[in-house]
Amino acid sequence: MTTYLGSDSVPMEAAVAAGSRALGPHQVSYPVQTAGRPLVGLGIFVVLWTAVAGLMAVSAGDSPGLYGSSPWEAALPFTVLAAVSAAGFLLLLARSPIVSARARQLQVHVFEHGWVRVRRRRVEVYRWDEVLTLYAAVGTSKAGHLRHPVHHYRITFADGRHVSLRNYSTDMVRFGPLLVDAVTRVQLPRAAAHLRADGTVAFGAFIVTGGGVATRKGGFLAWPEFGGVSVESDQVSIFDRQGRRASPQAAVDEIPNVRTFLLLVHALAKNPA
Amino acid sequence: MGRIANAAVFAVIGLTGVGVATWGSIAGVTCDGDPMRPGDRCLEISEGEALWRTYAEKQKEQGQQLLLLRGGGALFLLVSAGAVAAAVGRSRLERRDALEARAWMTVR
Repeated sequence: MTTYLGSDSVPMEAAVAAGSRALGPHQVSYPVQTAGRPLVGLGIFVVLWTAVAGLMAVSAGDSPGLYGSSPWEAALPFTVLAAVSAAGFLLLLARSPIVSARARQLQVHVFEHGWVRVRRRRVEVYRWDEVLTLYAAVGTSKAGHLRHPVHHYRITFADGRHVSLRNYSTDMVRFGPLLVDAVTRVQLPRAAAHLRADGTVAFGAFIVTGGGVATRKGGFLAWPEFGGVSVESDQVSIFDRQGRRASPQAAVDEIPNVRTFLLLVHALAKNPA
Repeated sequence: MGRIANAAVFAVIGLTGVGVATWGSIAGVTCDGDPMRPGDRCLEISEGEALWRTYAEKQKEQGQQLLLLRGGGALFLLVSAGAVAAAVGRSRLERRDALEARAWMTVR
């Protein structure tokens, strides 16, 4: 068992937790992220509601009885909205690594066989080989001209724990791909071994078999006819050698361990079991 | 959890709409917050012009507003129920996926 007590990059609590689950040597650490967009959004609301409250108060002062009996009464609803927005802004700011020393300690520490997540009230330890299902939603959400990156990973572990990692959980741009790679590295040989022993491995809407790929809806594409897997607009489907879609489309974030599925299918298409 | 949170937001909006509409029905026809009775008239000032509105006119106008609120609220509640049903269905599928993955993840 290897631990790194006293290391500059790994705090004692994380090193002890990693050692207790035999995670092996430390590789990299990622800090928790500042929720920049929510902060800016709440800041805009504070300014907006304060301005509207001011305008309502001035209008009510000029025309008594139009919006309420007094300028204060007219401005009250927007003052409440501004106060709620300001409270949210200050709360987020106080918990962000920009101003909070504790928040700067809330890191994800990656080790050879898993990772440790230091949270406010506890330290969580996870091993790559305990991941049963990993659903990944990675992309960009659009609202008009506004584009917002989305990194959302939902994980279920063999001991029944569920973890949801989102944009600000840590540096998901770096940790997300590393997580998927590490889990796939563990899962792929096990999926291949199970396929040889049992004949099928299920991945949500798709079932990989020694003879080809089946779908839950009864479709089947044998390896000799198999043309590939298409991942377009966050939808996954399989197609035959003529390029015709041979399955219903399934959302990529609803297929568990999608990377393992893609690599397994790719390997089997070249060398069927 | 995200789906349930969305459903909760829709449910709160829907319940608020239906609740306000129900409260409005109980309160009856009003003129600037004061209850009106058949035969009463209500003075409204709009863009500097005074306008007398009858009880029947106010009843029709407020009835339409309440209908809109009730309908909108019911629509949000319907969407909320749909979101809950989708979340329950998704959760069931994810339990199935975990069970199936357990079978091949235990192979070494």
